[in-house]
Amino acid sequence: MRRALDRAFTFGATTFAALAVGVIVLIVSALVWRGASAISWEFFTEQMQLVGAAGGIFYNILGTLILLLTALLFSLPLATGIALVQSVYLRNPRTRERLWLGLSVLNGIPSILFGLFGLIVFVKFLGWGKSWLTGGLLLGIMMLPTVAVALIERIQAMPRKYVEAAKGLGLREPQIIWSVILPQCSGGLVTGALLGLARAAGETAPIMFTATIFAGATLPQGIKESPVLTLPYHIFVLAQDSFDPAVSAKVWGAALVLLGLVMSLSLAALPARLRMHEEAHHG
Amino acid sequence: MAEASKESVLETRDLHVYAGDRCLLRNVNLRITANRVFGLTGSSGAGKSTLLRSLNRLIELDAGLRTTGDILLHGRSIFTADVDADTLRARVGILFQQPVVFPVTIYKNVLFGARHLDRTPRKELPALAERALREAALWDEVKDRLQEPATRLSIGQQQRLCLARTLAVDPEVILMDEPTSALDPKSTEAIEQLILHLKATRTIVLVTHNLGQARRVADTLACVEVRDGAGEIEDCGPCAEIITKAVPPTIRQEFKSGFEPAP
Amino acid sequence: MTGSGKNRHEIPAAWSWTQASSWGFTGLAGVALGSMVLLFLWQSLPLWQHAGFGFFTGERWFYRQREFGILSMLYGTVVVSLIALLLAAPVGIGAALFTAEILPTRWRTPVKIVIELLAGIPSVIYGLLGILFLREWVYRALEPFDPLSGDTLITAGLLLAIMVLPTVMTLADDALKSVPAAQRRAARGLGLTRAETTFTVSLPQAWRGMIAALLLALGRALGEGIAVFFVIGRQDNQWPAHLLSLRPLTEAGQTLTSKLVGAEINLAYGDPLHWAAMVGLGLMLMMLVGGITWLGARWMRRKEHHAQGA
Repeated sequence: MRRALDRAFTFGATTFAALAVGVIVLIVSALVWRGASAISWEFFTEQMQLVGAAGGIFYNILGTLILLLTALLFSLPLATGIALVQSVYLRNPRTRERLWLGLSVLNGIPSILFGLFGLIVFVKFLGWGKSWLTGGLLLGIMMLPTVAVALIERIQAMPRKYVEAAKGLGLREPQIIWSVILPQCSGGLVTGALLGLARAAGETAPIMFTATIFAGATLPQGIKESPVLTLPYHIFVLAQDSFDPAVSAKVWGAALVLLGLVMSLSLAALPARLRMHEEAHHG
Repeated sequence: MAEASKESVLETRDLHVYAGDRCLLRNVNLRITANRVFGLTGSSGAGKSTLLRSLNRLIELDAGLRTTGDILLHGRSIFTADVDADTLRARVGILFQQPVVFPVTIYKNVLFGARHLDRTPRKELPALAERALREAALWDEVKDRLQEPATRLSIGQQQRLCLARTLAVDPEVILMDEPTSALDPKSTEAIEQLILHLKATRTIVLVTHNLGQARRVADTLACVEVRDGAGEIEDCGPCAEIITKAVPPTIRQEFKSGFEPAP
Repeated sequence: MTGSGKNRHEIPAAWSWTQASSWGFTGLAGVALGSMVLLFLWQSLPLWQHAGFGFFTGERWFYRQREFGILSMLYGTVVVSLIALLLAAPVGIGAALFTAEILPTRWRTPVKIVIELLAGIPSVIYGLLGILFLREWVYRALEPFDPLSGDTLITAGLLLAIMVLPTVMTLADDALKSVPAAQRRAARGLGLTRAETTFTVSLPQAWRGMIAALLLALGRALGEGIAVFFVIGRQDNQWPAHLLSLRPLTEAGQTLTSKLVGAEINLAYGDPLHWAAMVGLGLMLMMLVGGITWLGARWMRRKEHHAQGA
């Protein structure tokens, strides 16, 4: 009886795990199968023609990269500040708890609400029309919790002895932060940034009303009325009209490229992340 | 000592333990006789714990460790297909260096293993718990607080609780991996007294790095030392003999009186 | 040495630039969050004046006729998220039991990587997969019920289930792994089987973390718009005849999120009342998801405190 239960347990758990793993294999293979035919050098370097049925996605890739860079530049200092407040400046554990909860809530806000927010503030109030800067800022805010949390965890995992040694030498707080804490924990910042960018790269909802259009843009000129083309929105628009076979392969190709971008960013962050994860739970 | 006439409870034959390609233990041939305390001693890292854990197949839980050779319990191999490792572990129990109590009440801790055995009817479980706690010399200290969390006990009490828990399963052999290393002298003495008492009804295999403890408690002693990168049994025999061999001549001279067996 | 003499006369330093800017940045983030709520409240004022409680109790959304009731959308949101959770919870927890209790340590890293990858797939790609694969499968599977198309609540629920699955898996795995290995070993040493060890040692200590995992997954499911947009059919006013009937699951519907990522936002831009209604939707969504996420995060912290205190 006990043997039977044990066997049933092993069987059940293994089946579910196989199911979960099977799903991702299916997804990735579907993408590769459908999209591989579209991938070519021209695909990356040409711009879109015939409403997506021909040409490449050069400006889409470029637009996404512009948004990501902006998001990064915006979120890095803010996330660092938040991380320092949480792990260095705040003494009261209750307030720290609240800040942590606040970060979690911010992280869970549906992305469309950021789009709505951007629509109200930047498009309506500031009258910027669709702008790359809006998109970058919104994505930056979305990235904040991811980056901040990664840095916070890294700071909290850092052995106290380094700070104690620095204090013993007479260094003052800002000096300790810039000479000891931040350099030691820069890995956390990098990890968080990579993970945050991975998520931001794939987001459609925050930018679809505020920063991106489907066709007709190349490089942004200025801030107002300067939208960009992006990968996710490109896919979003074309997917709704995917009965044209010529377009179909291109959409899959774009999806494959987007997936590749997101995966590369995630994978780059993985080694450091797994190491820290193990230390946190088994240290 | 008419060792040969006593049946061996546990026996290892050409036991080797590997971690991947690396050999951890080599050529272990031991005979552990019933109702004795069999001591295992040796330098740190020589492989004593590994050897101990192979006796109830607990090392199988660690990925990458494998054994070759055979281990016999009452003359029958423990590796054959019809042997269930979990049932084996109920017959060959183990006590760890660090007491591991579960985050439940003392009562639930004692019965943690016994509950699953289907041997004892529900109604008799409290009696079983009391028996096990008495055998572990813990009953008087906890009888009025059985429903308290076990984590509130002192570390010496926790180790005795772990012993009671193992005893509740009624194993023939109890493996003990340095059971007193983490304890204070008083608790150590209590456990050693228990061991001497327990060997009348069971067989004990005790890993210890403390020769004094071995002298006080063990009947037979085996030394595990590293040779050519793997642990081997360097010496094995009656405890008193082995101990005098193990101590360097100069110190032996100084402490000679302490090592003389009582008349 | 200059040490003590200097300190005695020194005025305690004003906040350093680092400290000031750190607090400033944190404040900025807090302001962003807070202003989001306030802005949504303000911009949706015309709606409250117009519809009042009818917004919550009305199941009809006809913007041209100035009828703004979100009940049908709430129904869609709840149903779709529930389906997602009901499917993802057992599979996710089952898979986590595998990775935490059965999988040999050697394989943990590759499997964790695979799960992380699944978690990172953008929603628009899920939407694409939904349109081109899932839709047809569901249509064919629902043949006996004579569906209009493959765009149904079930389709959306299924897609969401796949999307939140990795979240459930990783968090449940974390919860299980936080139970000390020494306890597992002690239980096995007593002769307990692997299943018995899992059920008497690991699960009793990990269940809180699992609840947190499910709450957070629910939050994600509630807030997902793009993928749902593609496969739900975007049919307003799908209020079921009987609340507990399963029939509406085979039909199209609408959720709060699928409405918000649709074209109606652009349509509403110039019309103050319609615009207010859309922002009202956003406010609703924010309260709903914010509440669930907050609960999940708090539960997570309680689990950690509990584990340390035990």
